[in-house]
Amino acid sequence: MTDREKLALLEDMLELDEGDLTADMALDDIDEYDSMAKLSLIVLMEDEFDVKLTGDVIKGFETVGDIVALMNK
Amino acid sequence: MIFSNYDGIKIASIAAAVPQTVIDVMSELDNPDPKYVKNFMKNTGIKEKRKCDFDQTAGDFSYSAAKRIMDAGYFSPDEIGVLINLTQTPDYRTPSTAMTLQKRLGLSMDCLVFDVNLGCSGFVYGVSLAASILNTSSAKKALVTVGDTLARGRRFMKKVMYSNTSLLFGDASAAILLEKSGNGGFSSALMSDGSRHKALSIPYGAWRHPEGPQSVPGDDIAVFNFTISEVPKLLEAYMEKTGTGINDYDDLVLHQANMMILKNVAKRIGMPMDKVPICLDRYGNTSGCSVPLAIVDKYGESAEDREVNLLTSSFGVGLSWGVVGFRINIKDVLPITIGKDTYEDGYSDDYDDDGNLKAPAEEA
Repeated sequence: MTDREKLALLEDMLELDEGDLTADMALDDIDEYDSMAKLSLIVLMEDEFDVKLTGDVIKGFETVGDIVALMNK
Repeated sequence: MIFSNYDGIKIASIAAAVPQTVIDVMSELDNPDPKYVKNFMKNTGIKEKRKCDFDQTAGDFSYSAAKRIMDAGYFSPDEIGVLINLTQTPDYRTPSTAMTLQKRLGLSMDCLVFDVNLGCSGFVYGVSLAASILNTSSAKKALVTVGDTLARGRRFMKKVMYSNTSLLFGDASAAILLEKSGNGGFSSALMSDGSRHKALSIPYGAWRHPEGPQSVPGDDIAVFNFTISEVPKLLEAYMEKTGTGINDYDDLVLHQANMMILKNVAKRIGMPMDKVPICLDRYGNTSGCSVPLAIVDKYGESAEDREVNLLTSSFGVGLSWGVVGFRINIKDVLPITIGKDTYEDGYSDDYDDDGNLKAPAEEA
């Protein structure tokens, strides 16, 4: 899976338009990345990448790229 | 897991009582952020909920639901040998709300009566506990009531008014009648994890911390992770132990926590969503009452004389979770009751901060 495809998964999850996200964007600047989106992210990462996210890992995310880096396929 | 079989015990009737007042989630906040509330509604599935009046408690709705079953002729007061009430919003610190229900329903003294402090997992624990006592005692019928008024409590929580949880909860109670029956029987699987007790907690207002807020924010991510991993695992383990599969059940009735959780738990065990009853869109997360409320919401208006096989699971504060599978005839699921009962207990609310009774206001 390319980085662009991974970003597309996140855009779909956050209901953003294609191309809205880049890896260097700060998560704090994305209105749609709220507490409910974090729960959606847990499901996405577990279903698509078999990665189990804990609260501490999610708290450590600063940029979109930090999430993409854990998408390991 | 602790697996139990209750041969010769059946769930004979279920009823639920909800407040009259309907709250539109969009109007719940004083100055709603439409985008936030819209997103909340999309992810949780909650559009409306019910909130009780300020002179009503969970005990009042439990009374209304139990009385509904009694008035329908399923039991007379002297037949009940066990009364268990499950709540995290009791009427008093002590005695148990169940004691007031015993009095209000006119039950005899030949009865075990007590409360259990559990929230969202209350239904599975309540019916399991009642069935266990029926199995080992001379009691023939048991009444379980389960309910909370968390929406009412939230009114005092100004600091968290804008959190998800302040929008999430609705008030309601349910009553479940169990009885000894030659051809009955059902099973349960229960689990608990006290090491995660802080994930959902109301630590203030009791004896360790008498003063403090009525609630503190929970660890949403830890609770979500717990639910979507532990609950499907227990459902699978239950079905393996009982030699059943998802096709053996008419419905998977889950605690109505929020839509994301319902979808994910159902998906993980391969149950299609059309077999997962939903009532949280109109009643919110009603804590321990939500499983019986979902059953009543689906079948309560039908007088059909047909048994359905239900796989149920509730989960929450504790952390605590469980599964119960049982059969019930649709005609024994009673229509939703609008709870209007209150209880004049003779205690005054007119005390000042020092615990002294306020002087009556002088007449003009």
